[in-house]
Amino acid sequence: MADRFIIITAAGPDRPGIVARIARVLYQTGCNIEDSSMTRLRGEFAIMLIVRLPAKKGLTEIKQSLKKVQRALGLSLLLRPLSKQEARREQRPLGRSFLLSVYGSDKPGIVYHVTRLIASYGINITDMNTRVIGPPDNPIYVMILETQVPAKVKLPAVHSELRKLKRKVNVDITLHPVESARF
Amino acid sequence: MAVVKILQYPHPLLKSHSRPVKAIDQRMKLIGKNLIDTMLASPGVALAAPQIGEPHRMIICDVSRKMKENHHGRIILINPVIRHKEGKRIFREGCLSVPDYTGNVSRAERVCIEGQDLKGRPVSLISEGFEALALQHEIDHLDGILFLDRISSLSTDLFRRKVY
Repeated sequence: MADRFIIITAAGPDRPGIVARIARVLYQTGCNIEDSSMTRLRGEFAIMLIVRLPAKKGLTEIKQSLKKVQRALGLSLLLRPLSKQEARREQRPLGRSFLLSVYGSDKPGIVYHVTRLIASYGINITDMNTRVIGPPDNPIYVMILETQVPAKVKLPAVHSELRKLKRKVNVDITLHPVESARF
Repeated sequence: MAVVKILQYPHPLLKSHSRPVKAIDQRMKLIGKNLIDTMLASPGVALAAPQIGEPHRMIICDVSRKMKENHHGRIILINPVIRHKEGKRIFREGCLSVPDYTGNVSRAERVCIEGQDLKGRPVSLISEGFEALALQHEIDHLDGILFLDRISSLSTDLFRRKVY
């Protein structure tokens, strides 16, 4: 039987042992954790896991096995089957990697304005983090995105649009290629 | 021309110490030649002998293939030793022996390295920037250290709140 994959997303109040307890259940049910990303956002711990299912078990059974841990840890939990394409390790490369940093005084709409602009160019977000930093009376919004810019996108046009946005929303924006190399 | 297969983890040579080169004989010269040919045929800018299955302390580096920064062109170093390190730079590295993964690694920005060339002549060079990173990466290979052993942060880590 072909490999079947699901994605599990979970979030709950942060404490030591969340990952261990989930991993234990998955291990005992014969699941295999493949790619994952987990992070703490303030007091909340958020989890995304791509899991390979054991041959004889389905999503419903895995969900059932996680019930106890879910209750004990107060987790919100979601399981969704993945298509073959979604579970492929080699995702279609969408272009060159660029890092976009946006920061400025906190105000509503920063995420919307920036992401709408880059989406209009077909630029794909592969990673994104936002943080509110600074003192409560003068909060600063910091937003860092890793993106893939398709080859056909004309970078000067994007830069020029970002400059306009910078003035309009009154934030600082830089877009630069991610330096990386294989040695 | 001999392009050799680049070993990939978990090949045990990649986690082993390589032997110092005692004499630069025909065999060592052949390994040097194979390193050149294999690097040129690869998408990388540097290579260490253990990556092509030869556990000897020899590396090659030629960052001019990718960058126009300060560099020494093609460098082959035998028994390289880092004498001095300065500064710090975090850079996203990948490795020909660890496919499909890159990570942020912190290394020295500037290094002074000593070794020998393929004729046995002593070499001493001061390297900085991209080339210095590549050289440090390759010298690590001679001690069985992969960039995975030196990941300094997840990319998001930079923005994580710190409690001082």
